[in-house]
Amino acid sequence: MNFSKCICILFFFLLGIIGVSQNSTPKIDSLKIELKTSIQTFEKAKNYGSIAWEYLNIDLEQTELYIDSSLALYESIKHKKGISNSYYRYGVLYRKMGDYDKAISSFKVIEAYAQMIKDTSTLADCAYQKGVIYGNKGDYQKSLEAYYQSLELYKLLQNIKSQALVLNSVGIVQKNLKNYPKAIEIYEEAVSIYKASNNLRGLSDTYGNLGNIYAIKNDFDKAIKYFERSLQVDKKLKNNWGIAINNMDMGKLYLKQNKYNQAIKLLEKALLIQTKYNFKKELTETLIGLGEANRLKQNYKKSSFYLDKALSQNMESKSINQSIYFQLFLLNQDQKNYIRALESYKIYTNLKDSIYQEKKIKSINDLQIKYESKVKDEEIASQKLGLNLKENLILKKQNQLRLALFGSIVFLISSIGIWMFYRQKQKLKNKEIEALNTQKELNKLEALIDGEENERKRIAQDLHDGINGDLSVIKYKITSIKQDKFIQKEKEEFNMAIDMLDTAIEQVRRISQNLVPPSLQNFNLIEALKQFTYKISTTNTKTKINFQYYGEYLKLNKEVETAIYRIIQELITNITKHSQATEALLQINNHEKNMHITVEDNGIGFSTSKGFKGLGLKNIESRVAFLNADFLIDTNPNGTTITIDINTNNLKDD
Amino acid sequence: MINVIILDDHTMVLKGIETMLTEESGIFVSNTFSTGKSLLDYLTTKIPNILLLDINLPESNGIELCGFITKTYPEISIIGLSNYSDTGFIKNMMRNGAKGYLLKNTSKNELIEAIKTVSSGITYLPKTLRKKLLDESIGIQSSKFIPQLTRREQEILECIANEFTNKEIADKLFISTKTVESHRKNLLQKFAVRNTAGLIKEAFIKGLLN
Repeated sequence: MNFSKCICILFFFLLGIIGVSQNSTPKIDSLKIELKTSIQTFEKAKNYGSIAWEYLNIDLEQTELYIDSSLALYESIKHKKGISNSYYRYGVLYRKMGDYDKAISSFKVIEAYAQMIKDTSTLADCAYQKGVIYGNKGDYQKSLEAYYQSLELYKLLQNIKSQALVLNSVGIVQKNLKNYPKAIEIYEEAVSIYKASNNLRGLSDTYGNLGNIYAIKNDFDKAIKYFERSLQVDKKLKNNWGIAINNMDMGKLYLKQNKYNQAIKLLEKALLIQTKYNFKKELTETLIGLGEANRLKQNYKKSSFYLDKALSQNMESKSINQSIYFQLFLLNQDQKNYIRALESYKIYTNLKDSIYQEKKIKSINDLQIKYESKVKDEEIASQKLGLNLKENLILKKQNQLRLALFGSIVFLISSIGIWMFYRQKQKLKNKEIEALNTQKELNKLEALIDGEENERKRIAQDLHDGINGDLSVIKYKITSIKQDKFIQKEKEEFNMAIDMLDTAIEQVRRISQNLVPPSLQNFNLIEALKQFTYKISTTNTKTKINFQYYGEYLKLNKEVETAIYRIIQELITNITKHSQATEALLQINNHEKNMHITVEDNGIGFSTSKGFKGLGLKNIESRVAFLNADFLIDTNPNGTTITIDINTNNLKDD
Repeated sequence: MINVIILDDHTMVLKGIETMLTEESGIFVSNTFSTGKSLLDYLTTKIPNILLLDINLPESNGIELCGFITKTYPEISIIGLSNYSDTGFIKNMMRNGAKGYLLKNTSKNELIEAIKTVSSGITYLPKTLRKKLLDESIGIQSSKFIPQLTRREQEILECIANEFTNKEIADKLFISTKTVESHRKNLLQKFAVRNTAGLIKEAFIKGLLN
């Protein structure tokens, strides 16, 4: 140890003394001045709180006093945030004081409040504090849960400083779980954060923690190195709690190495600070260490003094008491005071048993809890089973429903199918009936037309063969009369009679030809129409009729030809009678099995709505129906065009 | 002496004609028949010069009978005798070998003239029938050269010349496309052409389009 180092240590030592003696820091001083100058209640309350916070690592009694003042002021002005902050400080204070239940309930109050106002920052802080408390209580699982919860929240808030703090604490838990490499890793992460942000208090804590780990790993050199780093930072910060702890830790470390003098020196330093500032828990630990160290130095009086003082601290912690009584037992044994040794040992074993019992009860409780949770699991499982059964039932029902639905759809479809089938059948039947009716109608028409034609034929025959024959014979008879003895007047009368006979014969012939066109009977439609149009043209001076015929002649049966002839006859008769036309055109075109007939005139036209009815439409209508032809009239004052399309495929053969 | 036989189912006609001819010198009615069968039986034994043949017979077709007899007995000259004045009958009789055609209300003079003309080897037709046949043949001839168009056809022809489609023509004239198609076919047929191009060409040549 060289001189400069010595000076340095001395300097820090002196600094520590000054800090301890003043029981204050520059920050606290300035805050106190601020407090005196502040007028508003809120500002006062805030200053009390800040001072309390600064005292936390210096003097817990002072801390409690300042928090009390702060809370009273906040309550007087009903400042909720301030009240909440005060409770938070109480929580931390109770934690430091080792009163974990009080601490937890404080934090729960704050948490509920923070949740209500959605104060994430406070929630994170509370989670962290809870982590610390659960860790101290040895409930590492809960502790880690709390820590990680707070870590999440701090990350959300992007609060790096607090993240490092949490990491530190997680390291402690990992250490307690004997997961040392993990703990070191986490601490180093924290150290880098603290260095980057120049957070000395954090750095001090983390160094201390690292020292503890290496101490446990029996890596004394490294452990001492870290404790000293921590101590230096704490001295800079005037962190009495930290200074004491580091001294204590280092003392314990030397004790382990049987370096009693060094150990006692360090522990006494710690003792001085801890006594002054009432760091009860750590004080007891230091006292136990001093007890042990002095015992091992065979300085029994001192050892006894320290151990008695440790007992007088009245720590609730059984494990602390257990180690006190263990040391007392060892001390008495060394002093050969066996009765007292036995007493101490008895207490020690009782405590040990009690701890064991507690642990056992705890484990039984755990088991109980586990069992209960198992039962619950089973219950859940059985409920699930029930649910599954129900689900199956539902599924089954659904399936049944689906089946039913499917069935009904099939039924519906088939019903529709059957219905459509029957409808189709019915339609076909109806069509058949219709066709039959049409056929019947056609047959009726045909019979009618036939009857008419036959009647015509009979009359024509009678006229032609009967009357005309007779008239001819009469003519022959008359012309056979010898005219030699006739006077002129008689000759004239005779010739007139002959002429009249000829006229009569001609008229009868015309009538009979109209009734039954002989060309149609003996030849064909085209021949008959030629004769007909010629006759009209020659007998009717008003209207000239032109007949045009194109295409191969279609062989049709006489009934059909007659029907067509009658239609044309009727149309042309109408033209000559009513249209006042000077020209008319009859045109027939044959294409394959289709016959197109056009009858056109340049007359005055007629009204299709009524006029035509009187023009023998009935005769035409029945024959058009019989022929199943398309009949179209286009009439206007400049003339009339009538077209008739006949598909001869549809007509019955000869 | 001209040997004449007569076939007519009407006995009174037979008697009448026979009476008209009895007093005519040079004409002799050797026999009369009321059925085709009795005539044909007779012809196997005796051949006359002239046969006056009624077309309208109850049991047999006069025109067919005419053809059969002229083929079998070419030396017989047949004069058709009928109440029908339709040219179809006349032409058909002539095609089947008849040498003359008379209406039944013929006069005595006309009948004698016909018999005498035919027996000298010349065909005889009364004046009225000759005119009828002539008119008819002229009428058909003329329509073949320049086809007369219906109004519809004229409209459609113009539409086609203006590059209208069937659908467009149908819409314009308020008729169905089927009808347009029919008219189109009719036009092609009428002009004796194969397609629309030919139709338009012919229509221009014949002055139906301008």
